[in-house]
Amino acid sequence: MIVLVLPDIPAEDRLLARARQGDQQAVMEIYEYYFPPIYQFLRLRVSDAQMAEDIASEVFLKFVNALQGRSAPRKTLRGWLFRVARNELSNHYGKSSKMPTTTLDDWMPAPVDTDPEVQFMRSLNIERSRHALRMLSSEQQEVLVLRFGQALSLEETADVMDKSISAVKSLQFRAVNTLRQILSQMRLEIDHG
Amino acid sequence: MVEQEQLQDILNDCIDRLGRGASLEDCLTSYPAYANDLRPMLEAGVVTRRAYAPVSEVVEAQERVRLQIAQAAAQRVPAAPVSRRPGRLFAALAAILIMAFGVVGVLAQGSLPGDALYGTKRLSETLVNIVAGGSQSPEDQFAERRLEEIEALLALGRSETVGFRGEIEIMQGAIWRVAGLSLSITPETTGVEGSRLGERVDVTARTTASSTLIAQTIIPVETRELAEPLPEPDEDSDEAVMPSPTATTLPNSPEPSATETPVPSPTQTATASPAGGPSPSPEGCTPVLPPGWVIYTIQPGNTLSGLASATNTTIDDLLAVNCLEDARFIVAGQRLYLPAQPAVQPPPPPPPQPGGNPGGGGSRPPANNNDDDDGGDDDD
Repeated sequence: MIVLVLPDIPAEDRLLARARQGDQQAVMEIYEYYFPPIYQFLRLRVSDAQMAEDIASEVFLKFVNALQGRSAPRKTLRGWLFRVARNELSNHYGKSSKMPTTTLDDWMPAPVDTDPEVQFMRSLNIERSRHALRMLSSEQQEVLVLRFGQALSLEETADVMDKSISAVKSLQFRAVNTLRQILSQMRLEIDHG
Repeated sequence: MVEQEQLQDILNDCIDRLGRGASLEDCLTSYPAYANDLRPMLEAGVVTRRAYAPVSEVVEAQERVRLQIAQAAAQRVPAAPVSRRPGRLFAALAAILIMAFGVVGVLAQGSLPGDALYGTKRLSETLVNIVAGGSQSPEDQFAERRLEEIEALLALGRSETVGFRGEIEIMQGAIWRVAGLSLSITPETTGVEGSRLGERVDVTARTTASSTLIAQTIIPVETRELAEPLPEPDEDSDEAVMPSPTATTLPNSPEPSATETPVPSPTQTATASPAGGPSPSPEGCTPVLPPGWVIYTIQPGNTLSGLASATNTTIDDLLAVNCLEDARFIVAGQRLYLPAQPAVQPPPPPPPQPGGNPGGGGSRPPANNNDDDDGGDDDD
């Protein structure tokens, strides 16, 4: 099941305006709407469901607390939430330490699948997909989750990730190609495993 | 190099299109010369979506976090021009709570009516009132907390019975304002006749899924105190202890029981009168008595599903005709339009007893915390 938030900017603006004026119902609507994508974003980045939940809760508490202040989201609410989620993630892991990534060695080959490359990709289950994604660098994971997973625009993604548009463009290019290589290697291991 | 930049742009265009809901094939046919390179890249990118957590996991996490956010919203986001803040009381409160209740006591401060820790919260407040002695402030603070809880329940759209005390600020037809809360008055609301503008009253009401507050009883504070002296006659504590119905969250309507299945009776009919029918919903849906239907007064133990099956109709029909939003939201004494009168009608409900059962909960079944409809305290 795919949870995909399609941008609906005018509705989002109205909702945000109501929330800023103190409409609690609007705050809860924003929560209902954005919790799933934020949670999914976090869940792909951390291996522990409880941790993803805690960080998601932190993101929305920050949002509620920020509503009245200067740091309140003004233009794109979605971008703001993802940016806070991203910051919370790096706070959580600390600036220096690496986010969890796995290596091919950790991965246990699963039942044989002799289909060609694309067939293989389409046959992937949650565990294998996550496993493959976590072998990417943090930034590569993020750009794929934001662009493919959450359908953020190039501009929004650049904003969330604090990068230039052209940097995001080449990052996403490298990310899909690296992921493709990882998946091919996985497939080979299954074939020979 | 130039070719790679071109491929980057094309890839980017395809990601945008996928994000707008286009299919992968759509994009490949737009760039036939690149299709062979593009396909595995896009397929790899789409793997991201396959890595998503199952919906059930997301929904459960969302349930657990919702309450925290609603309470933060109720506290941080001023709902009215008057801002309510937990003030200087808080530090003293925290200290007392840790002494008396440990960490659970502090955690309970975030609970709402219907939550498991809510009893602890109320108990701890009583204790603080005792410790704080004659100070006026704690009672007001707790009254504010009660109102914040109600606001949180309304924001959540959770259906609970709540109680609060305040002044009648506005009486405009079926919509009143008491203690800053907008209150829907229905024909079933008791105590409406005697109430005056500006009077201090204790209100029991029900929050609904559509975020409205439906009044059940309105009792002037003075009347109740004359009739039923409060257990603590301390002159300052008159606001501290609320009678049981206002202080406790009542369980939702009982589940249908196997033994109670009224059978429709063709002999009994009733006449329709506008005042005797079901209450109009706040959304402007007005219940209209369909031809041949009767007015029925809900008895203790009745459920909408039980009444629906007893009168050969469906819950949905009853909800629609009676302008009800939530099948769980029926209370004994409330009047309902039914296709027929259920034959075995229990004795008529006792007249409403303002202020009855003070300090009790003893005569009522223990509040069962309504875990079934919030799921907020599930462990993983």
